[in-house]
Amino acid sequence: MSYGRKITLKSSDGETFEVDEAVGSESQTIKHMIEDDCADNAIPLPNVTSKMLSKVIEYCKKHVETPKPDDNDELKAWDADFVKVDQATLFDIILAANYLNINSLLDLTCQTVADMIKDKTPEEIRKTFHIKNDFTPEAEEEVRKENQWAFE
Amino acid sequence: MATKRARKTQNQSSTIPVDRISKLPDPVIHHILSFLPTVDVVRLSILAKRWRRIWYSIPSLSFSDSDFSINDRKLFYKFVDECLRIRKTSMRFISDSVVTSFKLDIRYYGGSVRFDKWLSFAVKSKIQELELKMKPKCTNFAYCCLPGDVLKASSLVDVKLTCLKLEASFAISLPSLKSLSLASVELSDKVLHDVLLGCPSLEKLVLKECFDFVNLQISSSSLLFLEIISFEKCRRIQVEAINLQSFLYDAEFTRGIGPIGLIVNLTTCRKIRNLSLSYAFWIEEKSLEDLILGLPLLESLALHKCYNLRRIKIISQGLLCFTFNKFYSVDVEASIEAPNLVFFSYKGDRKFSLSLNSQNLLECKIIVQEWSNDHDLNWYINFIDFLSTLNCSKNLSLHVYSQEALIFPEVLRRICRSPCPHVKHLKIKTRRRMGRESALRYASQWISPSLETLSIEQWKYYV
Repeated sequence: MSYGRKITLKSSDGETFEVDEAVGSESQTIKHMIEDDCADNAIPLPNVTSKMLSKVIEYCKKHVETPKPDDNDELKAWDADFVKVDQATLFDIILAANYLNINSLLDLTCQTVADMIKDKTPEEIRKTFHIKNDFTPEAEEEVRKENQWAFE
Repeated sequence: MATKRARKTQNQSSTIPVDRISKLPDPVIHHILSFLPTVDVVRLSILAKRWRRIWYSIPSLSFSDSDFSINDRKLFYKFVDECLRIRKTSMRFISDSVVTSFKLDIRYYGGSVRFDKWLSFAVKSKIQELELKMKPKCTNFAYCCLPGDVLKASSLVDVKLTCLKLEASFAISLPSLKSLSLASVELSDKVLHDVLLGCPSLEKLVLKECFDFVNLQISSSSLLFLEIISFEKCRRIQVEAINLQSFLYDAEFTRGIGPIGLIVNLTTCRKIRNLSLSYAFWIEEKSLEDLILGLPLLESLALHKCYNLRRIKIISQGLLCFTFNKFYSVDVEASIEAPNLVFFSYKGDRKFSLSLNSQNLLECKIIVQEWSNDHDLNWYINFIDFLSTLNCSKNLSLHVYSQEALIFPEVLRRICRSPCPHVKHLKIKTRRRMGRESALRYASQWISPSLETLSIEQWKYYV
């Protein structure tokens, strides 16, 4: 099933992807370019690698193709599987969704990261995201005092 | 061997874990943190230097007393007071420290001075999004009254209120408000009318479980989306919204069987494209026919468990999508004349007879509710008849509970014609797996002899 015309997207590493206009329009950035008539040739996306662009296109395609009133449980399950990736890929998708302005994908991925933070102690959070604790013991004590009403 | 080992260590050294989260741009980190309660965000200040003051400029504040232990209300109040005090100060010194979203979810034990102060800070900070939920400590306890400041906050764009009282005495002016949701809110017909007058840009209105409405009048020329959920005493709903695109009515959780004699008047809303009626006891054959006649732009229709709909007649030029969910065990007849229909979905038992005239049908999704003692010859014959009405669709998706439902008996397969010779793509989903996949495949070939693709799956989400 094809919805309207096709547009071409070009990743940072020169690979081109042809998609339906409806799929590309899930990205507000691309949608505005289409509306401003800049979409006759390939739309260059210098901030998105081909690996990320194919991931993002996969997401947009699935969301455009699922008929709206039904299948919400199935779509939610698909979304949950979509974000079961390693951390590096997850952050790459976040940056791509942010640059391409795809609200639902940005919400999905940011919620996933938030779930990784929730209910963890600071030490567990540092371990999960490889954050180096660069406080001196005195500075750390100062921060604890500053916000003591939150640590009670 | 040696080269293999050398390659292995090389791979290990290239996977030194990198802290990517701290390097994300501020707006992205703020977005991630907007999904966490503020108390968690403040506690992140201890992670590392980069995180120490992040919470001073996060644009979303979200407080819930469930983040603190149930006996520590005082601690919670102190936390919010301190938080807002520090944010107030930081907003004077940090130029990009703004608050755009304020959420409060608490158990209400009375009093209003504290909450007035908090909301006053939110309003003065020019928030755009406000979510307030103040469930009273026990059932008959009075709701907290929404402070008048909020009803004059010119910056508000999206407001969601749960378990509050709206009084008539305040002047209402919300020129930027686009979306308003009121759930379990005490307000009279008159106050709602005044609210709508004060919201000239309102596009979306959701009214849920507001039990004081009796004669509801919704007048708004800007309104595009309207949802009315579970009213009880209401006798009449009059909607005058000439630009309304989408109307949803749902009485599922109404106590008792809900308002039967309810009159719903949508005659001025001729631009409605999406209509969804669930547990609407007030709709029956004639009123549905009249309703659809008055909606020339209708594209999508969903009828879900409307008890009094026994005969359905739908004549609609523009209808693209029709979903019908049947009330268990009543006999229903439907006749659909929608030449542009592209998607049809049915969920229910076999007490349903269908006449369908749509040559452009692309996809049919049928969820059959059956019980294992159902499958006598009559049941299968009835099912074959039903399937043959769906022959005009290119894609057919059948969800059944047991594989038996589709394994038509040999005798029927010999004497009856294949019901769906035009269907090209068949998707079968069964809840229970009984190891009869090959019999199912064989039966599918009989159902649609010209199949191009066939998929048989087990479906986890049978409802």
